[in-house]
Amino acid sequence: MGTKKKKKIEWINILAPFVVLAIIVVILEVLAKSGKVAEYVLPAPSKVVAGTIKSFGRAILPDFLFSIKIILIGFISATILGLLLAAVFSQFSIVAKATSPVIIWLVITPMITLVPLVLLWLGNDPNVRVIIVILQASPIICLNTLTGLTTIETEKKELARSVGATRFQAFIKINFMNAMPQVFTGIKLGCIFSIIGSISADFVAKTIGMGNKIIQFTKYVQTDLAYGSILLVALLGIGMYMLIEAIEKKVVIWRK
Amino acid sequence: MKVPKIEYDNVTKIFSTRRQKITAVQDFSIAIEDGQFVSIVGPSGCGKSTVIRLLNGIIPPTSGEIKIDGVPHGKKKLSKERLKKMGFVFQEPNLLPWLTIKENVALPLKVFHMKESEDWERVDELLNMVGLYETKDAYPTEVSGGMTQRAGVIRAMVHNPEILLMDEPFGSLDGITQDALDMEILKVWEKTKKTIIFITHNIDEAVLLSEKIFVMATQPGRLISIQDVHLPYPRELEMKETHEFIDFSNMITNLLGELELSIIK
Repeated sequence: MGTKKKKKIEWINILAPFVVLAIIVVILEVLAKSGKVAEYVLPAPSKVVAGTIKSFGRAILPDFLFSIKIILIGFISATILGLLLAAVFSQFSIVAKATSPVIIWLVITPMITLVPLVLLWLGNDPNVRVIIVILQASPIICLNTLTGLTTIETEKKELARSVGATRFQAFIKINFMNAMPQVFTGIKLGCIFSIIGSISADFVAKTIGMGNKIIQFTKYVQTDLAYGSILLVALLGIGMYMLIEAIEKKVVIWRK
Repeated sequence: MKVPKIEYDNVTKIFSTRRQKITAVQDFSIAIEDGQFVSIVGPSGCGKSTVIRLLNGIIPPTSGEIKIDGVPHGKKKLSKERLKKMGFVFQEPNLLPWLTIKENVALPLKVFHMKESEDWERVDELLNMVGLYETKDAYPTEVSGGMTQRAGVIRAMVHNPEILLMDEPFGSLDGITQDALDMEILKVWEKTKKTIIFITHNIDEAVLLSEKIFVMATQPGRLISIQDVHLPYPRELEMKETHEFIDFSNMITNLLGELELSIIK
């Protein structure tokens, strides 16, 4: 009986967000169709979807693929870089203390402010935007991982010492796994930051990418396509986020 | 003359914090024979946990010497050979939540690089002994407190150490489970004749289990009395009801109580 009840609750958990979403869509649809709001401000959701599907292959797809490429390459590189830096920093507490303020400074700085400079230094090749994504996402991944690696219960340290674990053994068998909850928090934030980084780079460089498309569609009052593009970026982000969360559940089995 | 298994020679441990120095253990000298079951009792803060952490090399002493089989620890980090002689049971089970029960129990074998098949057979043997074989593939969060503590105990025994150090191992468990595990550890001791140092604040538990009780007091943490327990083995839970047991237990309680009173005065 217990499991039956649990299943029921799980279903409600899955269903509830969709119900909320449906209500929002219906309200927007009614609002848009009522004629009280101008179409260039708020196109009906049905029109956004239909318009976006119609123009997708011709007007959106190349930019969407470009953005996916920049985000994925940037995010994966940022994850590897963030984890490696944190692993190195964690081994020397003085380095960890010395670098933390710099990392926090990097996390706080919106990379959009650096995009013009980066473009100036590295040229106008759109692929340079990968670097913006890495700059935007790796500090938050590094910071969270570093916190995870350096905060460990005394008992676990004592266990390592009691069995005479070498520094390397302790790092691999205890510290690294112990940091997993924070590592995943960092990676999930890094995923969000990657998307922000990529779109903000498009906003400044304005040649290609979903950020560029959103600006263009807005400029030519194709509001439905602008909304559609925003929706596509959001869907990409949600997809990535959910994938990471699924991996997290497999790895961090002990967190309820 | 026979060399004691474990010897503390004038051991002092001072913890220095930013504001003050705390003498956790002062001029501590005891000897424990091979195969003895001894307990250390005392109020919290008397340094009883520090005593076994010093022996296990988890923390170094400020001064004094600790010997195993007559050989002093020395100044350096303890060698793996020396650490292998000891198994440490923590107050909380202190299992790693990302490993299964069996992987947790086998952890010392991996760290000590023990690859002999007889060592690995011991993992299953120990799991069977404490009734964990069926749940060996479960994760620590999926089983009860009594089960995780049993796993904590056999993890300390998996590399077949000569000495077991137990830091209030059953203190956080309910009374019934505590009694059951006390009897299990007695059986293990009677069978293996390992040297056991058992830390507890529960005087009845110390009397029930051990041959000898070291009584410690606080501020500074120090030894105030050594008491031999003259109850016959095998010990049974029913012994707790006998006059002999109750009188002896009260005597130790009074030892500690008088001291508390003298501090207040």
